Amino acid sequence: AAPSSVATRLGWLSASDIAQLPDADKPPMDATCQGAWATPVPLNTPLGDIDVSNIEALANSLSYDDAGGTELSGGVRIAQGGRLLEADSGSISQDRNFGRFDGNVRIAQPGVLLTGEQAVVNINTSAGQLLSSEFVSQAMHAHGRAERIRRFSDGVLIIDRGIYTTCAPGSRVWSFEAKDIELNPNTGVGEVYSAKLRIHDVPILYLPYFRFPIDDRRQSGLLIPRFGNTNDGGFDLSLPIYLNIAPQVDATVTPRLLSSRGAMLETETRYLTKNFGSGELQAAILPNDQKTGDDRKSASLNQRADWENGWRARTSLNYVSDNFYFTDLGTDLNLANQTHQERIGEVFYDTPDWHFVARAQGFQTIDPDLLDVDKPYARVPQLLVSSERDRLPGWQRGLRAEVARFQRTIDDGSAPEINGTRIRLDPEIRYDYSQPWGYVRPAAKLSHLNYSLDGDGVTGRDNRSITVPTLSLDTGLIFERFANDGSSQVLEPRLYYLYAPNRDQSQLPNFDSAVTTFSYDQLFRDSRFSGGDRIDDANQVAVGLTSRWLDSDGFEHLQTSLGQIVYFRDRQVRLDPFTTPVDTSATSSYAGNVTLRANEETSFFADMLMDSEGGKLSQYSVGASYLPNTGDRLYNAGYRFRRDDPSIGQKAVSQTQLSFVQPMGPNWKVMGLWNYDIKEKESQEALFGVSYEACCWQVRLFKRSFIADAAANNSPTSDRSRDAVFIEIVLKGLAGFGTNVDTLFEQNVFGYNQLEHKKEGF
Amino acid sequence: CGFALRGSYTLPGVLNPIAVIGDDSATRKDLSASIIRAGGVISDAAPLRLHLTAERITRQTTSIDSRAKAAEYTLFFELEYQLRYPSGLPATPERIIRLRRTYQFDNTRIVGKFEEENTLIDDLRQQAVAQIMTQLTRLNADDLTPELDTPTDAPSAAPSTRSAADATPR
Amino acid sequence: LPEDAQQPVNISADNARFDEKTGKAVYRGNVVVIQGTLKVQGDTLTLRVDDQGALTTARTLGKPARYQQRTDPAKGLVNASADEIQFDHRTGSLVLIGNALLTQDGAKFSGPRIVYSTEKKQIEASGNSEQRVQLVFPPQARGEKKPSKDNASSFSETAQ
Repeated sequence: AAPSSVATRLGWLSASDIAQLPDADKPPMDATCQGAWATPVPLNTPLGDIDVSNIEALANSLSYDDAGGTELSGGVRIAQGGRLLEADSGSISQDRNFGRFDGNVRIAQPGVLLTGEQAVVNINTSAGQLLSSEFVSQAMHAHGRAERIRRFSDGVLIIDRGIYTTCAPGSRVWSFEAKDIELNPNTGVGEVYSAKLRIHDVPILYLPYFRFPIDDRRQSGLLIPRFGNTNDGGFDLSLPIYLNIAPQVDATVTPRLLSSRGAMLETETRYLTKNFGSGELQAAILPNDQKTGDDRKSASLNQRADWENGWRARTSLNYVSDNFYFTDLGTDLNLANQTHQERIGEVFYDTPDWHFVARAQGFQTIDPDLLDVDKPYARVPQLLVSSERDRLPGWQRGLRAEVARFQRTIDDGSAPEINGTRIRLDPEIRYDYSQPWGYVRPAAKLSHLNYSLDGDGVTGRDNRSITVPTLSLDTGLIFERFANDGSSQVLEPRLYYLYAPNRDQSQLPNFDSAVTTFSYDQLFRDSRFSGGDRIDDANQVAVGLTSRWLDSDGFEHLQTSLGQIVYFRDRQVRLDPFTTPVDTSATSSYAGNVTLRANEETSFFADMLMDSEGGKLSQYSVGASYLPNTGDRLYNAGYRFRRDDPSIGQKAVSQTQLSFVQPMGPNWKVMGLWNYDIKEKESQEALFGVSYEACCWQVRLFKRSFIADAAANNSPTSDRSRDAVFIEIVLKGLAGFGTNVDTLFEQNVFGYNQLEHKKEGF
Repeated sequence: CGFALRGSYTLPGVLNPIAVIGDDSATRKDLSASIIRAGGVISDAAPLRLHLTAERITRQTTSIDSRAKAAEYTLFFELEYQLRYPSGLPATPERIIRLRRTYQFDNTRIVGKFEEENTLIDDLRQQAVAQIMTQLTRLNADDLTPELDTPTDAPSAAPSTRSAADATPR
Repeated sequence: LPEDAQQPVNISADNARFDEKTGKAVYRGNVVVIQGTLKVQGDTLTLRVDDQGALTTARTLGKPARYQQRTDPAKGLVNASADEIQFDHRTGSLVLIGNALLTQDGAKFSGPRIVYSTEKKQIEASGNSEQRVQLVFPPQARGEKKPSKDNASSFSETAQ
């Protein structure tokens, strides 16, 4: 008979075979592979607990000797709780622990099949060893062969002198041959020692070691070289290399060549300490940038520790050598438009009722246009105690107590330097009376703010403190009307009264406060500032109405809200009394938002602010998104309009946002992202990508143009808009995530992280 | 026009008591508080468990100022939940609540602005919890897929005690 | 048990016929044989004795015929059933033919034909075209478990 192909031996079903199977038995098929592995024990079979499930052996003949053990011959088949072993003949040791099998040996577990000529297996732990073996893993879409395969009781597979590929049998586009391949399902990591990577059986790359994800845990594996061209950096080639330094430490070292800037080295080291948690250290250096003439460096350390007994700690130290590091060398828009590099170390202690935080935080400002006065203060340190806020009915008491030392040096004379220590106490008492038809929630707070200031900007009273009571009453009713199909409409009128006397705060510094964005939710908050430097003066009542339309399952199809604040007194307290006038308007603008959901996939959002007189829209935004559950495509569109309104710190904006991922047949996919600024008549970010995906490899081509840096005094070395073209070749199942386009899309396209292909790795 | 003050807002008998399971303690606490406020009872030994299976908070730059610096961020809050039997078998399909809120950024007040983000996240969490509560109050016993005895040889861990009121066919 | 052979043999049946010349005794109708821990039940029992009157073979038919004996003081009872049970006293071997089933300490052997030697405690089972031999044994008792982190390569030497 014709030599049986790998496909028939190991159970590869073509798309037409699968089509004929009853639905229950259809193995999951990747459309790009036109087939799938079907292992003797389906992937989703529950693995019976070895200690509980019986061992069943079948054979043509069997001899059992009390002292010697059991000999089986002729179509031997041993099954136990989702594990299966077949062979021509075999023997089981007297104590029923070990079995030795010969001839057409096949060992199967859920989604895994190992075949070989001769095998020795521990029946209880199904650890074992197979000689001249072939293997299939459905979960990894992978198959291959090896001189020897050893399986350990914890499920780890070691493949000696083997070949591994995720391509369909018979069309082996790539494979790698290695002295030692280790697949660990517990950590989801595959490690390969002294491997030769072959494309169409031509060896193209020798790698002493590399690792790759073998399940869908998001881990970066061997990062295939990325090359492209940018108008600023020229030809851009990066070659990631993996170093497995120790069981708890691994590193990716990426030499990167930018033709118009020079050679640079980027490293990322990930480490796990025994009792100080885990972290990552990134560092990069571009010695002697040909365009700027100096060294470009960046470093960041992030570490998190959780000691389970309520103690946690986190640190994040970030540094860049110059203001334009990200705009010149970064490839990700979100990094490019960052204005600060945070340095923070914080320790948390949580108990069921109280939370303690001690933190030191500072920033390196990398926006060249920010004057010293606009730069953030460092909190060295900040100590914060806050009570656990549970929203249970009845009386509730709360306290937030904070003491912090604020420090900021002023070198450019943009303002006198004021530093100091601030103490803020916010004891609060609330009563929550809620019923199905509505709620009444009175609350009283006595805020105390105390500064002791120093620095040349301080004259005279360097010790200032104020104490301000704040009273609020939050009430609401809930009306409901049912239609006969079970759907219902809900009307929720809400009234929020807020009173706090005015205490002069014009002499108080602003260490960490900001004006919160005015919106419908803001109507019902007890402060118009975030941070701790101001205590609101207020005598106002906010009136709002929310209407919801729910279907019979309670799914909210439509929610509209509209509200306004009626002021009985001007708002004297401001962050910066010298630049912002007292707000004397009698009522706030109308604030509203709308959420329309046809189903869980299709939704439309809008929010808006309308001037109280004249009904002019001072700002509105609309957004629609379609995210089908098939998880292979998405469409987002949005528009944002803001009128210039310095009184609430609002700059004029008129920008559109479009993004889509559109599959074209099983292999091709087109994706795009376009943010256009109508006011400035320029596109801020435009990216178009085409990707061709075969069963085990994928190539992606992207053209991207974005505004890198529009600093008023344009940086001499980088021009305002950037164009980049780059290509990514990915060997599916080998190289994990972490391609820059994925992170860019993930951070700018809603729903991208839920696309189906993300789940299987590609 | 047919509107009346809402008469009842309680969980159906089959969800009383109920266990709430989720990694994020803040959402779990808020949901438990809402259930208690609606007259429900939280108990880990309940025959039905509400699993908060996924919670994602992502921040995206939604508008950029003329100097390519972030002018506005939008926070996306996504919460997935599912009702399951103690054995782990699902009683309802997994459902997702998606919400978004935009806030204006000010890179001269970044510490204050990130504090504002925490307030927004807390508001979004309340609104997501409120939507889950509305969906739970509309659930009735026959929406639950009955817990079929799984054919594994190991008996399901805890023999589920059925309260008399529950009409789920065995 | 080995001392079973010295125990008195008690055979009860609906009727019995003994043929001196051929040395063959045939019992019919819910036949029960008890000798020490040995117990055999069936519909018909045919005994053959040699010229000194010593038992040579015993053949029991039943739907099914049953056999029970404690062959090893350290082990549990051996239970067997089959359409036909042949016992050869001289070799001490029991042959089960037709839907043969034998269990001891939870291990269950089944198949068309099983040969069990009571002295050497050996079991030979062979299948045929329609029915194969099946062996089911319980998982390793917890106590005797090997240390869990055994290494595949180390134990491969021991198993050779």
